[in-house]
Amino acid sequence: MTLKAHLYLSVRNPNSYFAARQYHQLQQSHDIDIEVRTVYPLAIRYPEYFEKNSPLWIPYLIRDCHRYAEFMGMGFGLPKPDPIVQNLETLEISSEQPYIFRLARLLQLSTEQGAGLAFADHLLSLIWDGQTTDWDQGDHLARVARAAGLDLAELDRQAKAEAAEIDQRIFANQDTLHEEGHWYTPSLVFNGELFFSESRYDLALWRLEQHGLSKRI
Amino acid sequence: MTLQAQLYWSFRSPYSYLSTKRYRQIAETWDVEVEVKPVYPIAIRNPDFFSDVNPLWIPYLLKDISRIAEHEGLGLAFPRPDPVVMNNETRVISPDQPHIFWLTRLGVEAASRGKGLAFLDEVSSLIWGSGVDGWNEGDHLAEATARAGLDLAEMKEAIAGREEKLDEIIARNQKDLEAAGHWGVPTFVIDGEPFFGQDRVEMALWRMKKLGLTKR
Repeated sequence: MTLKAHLYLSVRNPNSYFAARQYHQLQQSHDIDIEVRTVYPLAIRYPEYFEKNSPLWIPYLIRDCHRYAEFMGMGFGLPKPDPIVQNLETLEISSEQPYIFRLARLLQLSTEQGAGLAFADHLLSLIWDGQTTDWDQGDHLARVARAAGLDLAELDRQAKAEAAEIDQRIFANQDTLHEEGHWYTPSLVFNGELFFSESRYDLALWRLEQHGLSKRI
Repeated sequence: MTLQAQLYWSFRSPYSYLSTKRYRQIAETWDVEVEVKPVYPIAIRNPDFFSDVNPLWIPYLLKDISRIAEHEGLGLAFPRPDPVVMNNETRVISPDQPHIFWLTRLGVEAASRGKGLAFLDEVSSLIWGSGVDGWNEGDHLAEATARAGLDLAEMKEAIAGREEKLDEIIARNQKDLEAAGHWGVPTFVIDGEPFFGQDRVEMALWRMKKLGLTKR
C-alpha cells in the first residue's frame, strides 16, 4: 500500500534543499507519495527572527551546510542571487524582493500538478548546490521545470494570473504547519507525526518502515 | 596521536543526555580525549529564552526526545525534579534554583578528576533516563557517581568553600562555547570546529576520522 506523507519546504532554506533530495530519492525508490507544501521563508513570515536569534546562528548554519553537503556527497554554495535579498552581515532584509514570490508560487503550482517533489529537488539544487551563478537567468529555470515534466512558461503565466489565490494556498500551508506542530522547514509529516529538519530523515524512515514502507517493484 | 576534543554540555538539556552515551562510546573505542565543559542551562544564562521562543518548541521537543530515545534504545522520562525550576505553563524561571548550581559544579569537579564524560553519562542517565522520582534523594546520585568511578561525598567535600572558583570555570566554559561558534548544547568541538546537537555526533566522528583518528 502506498504510504502518504507531506513535506513543508521553503526555497530559501538550505536544509530544505537537503531534505528535498533525500525525500525525493526515497519516493523514487520506495512506495510512498510525498506531497510538497510550500511556505514562505522566515524572512517573510517572521523577519524579527533574525534579530532575536544569536548572532552566531547564520555563521554556524553556513558552516554546517557546507559539511553536511560534503557528508552527503552533495554540492553546496550560497545562492547567487539569494532568493531573499538580505545583507547577511547586518541581517537587514530588503524591502525589494524580486525572486521569492515567483519561486514560492512556482513551487506551489508544481505541487498542484503532481510534480512538487521532483520540481523542489531540481529547483533547490539549482539554487543551492553551488554550481550555478545567476540561476534566475537564461534557461536554468526552464530546464528545472522540464526535468519535473512541467512547462515553465505555462507555470509563470499561471503564477502571474493567479498570484493572490496561490498565496492564499501558501498561507494555508503555513497555518497547517503550525497546527501540525512546527513553524520551520523542512518538516515532514506522516500519520500526524512531524519530523523537523533534514537530520530527522533517518528517524522518519524508521517510522515509515514500522508502517510497512516497501520498495518499489 | 590522541585527538583532543571538548564537549559543552548542560544537565537540563535532554539532547545533551541523548548524545552522551554515544560520545562516551566513541571515546572508549577511538583515540580521542573528550574534555567536558559543563555550562549552566540556557534558562539560567538567558531567562528570557523560553518566553521568546516559539510556543510550539517545547511540545515538539518533548515528542522528539521520546522517539529519539526509543530509536536509540535509551530510557527517557521527564526529570523529577526538573533540574531547573520553571513554571511549565507560564515558562517563568523561578528565582529559587535549588539544584542546578551544585549539580553543574559537580560536573566541573568530575571533569577536573578526568572522569567528566563518565560522570555526565551516569548522572544524566539517572536524571533523564531512569524515570526515578527524586533523583536528588536517597543514594541515587551517590550510586550513579560510583558507577563513573568517583566518590560523591568526597567530591562534595572538595567543592565546599570553592564554589566561586568552580563558577568561574563554568563562566569561562560559557565564553569558550561562544568563542567556538555556538551557544547551545550539546556542542562538541574538534580542532576548533563546533558540532551542535545530538544529530551531529556521527558527523563529528566522520570529521575526526578525516583528522586521523585511530582505534584505541
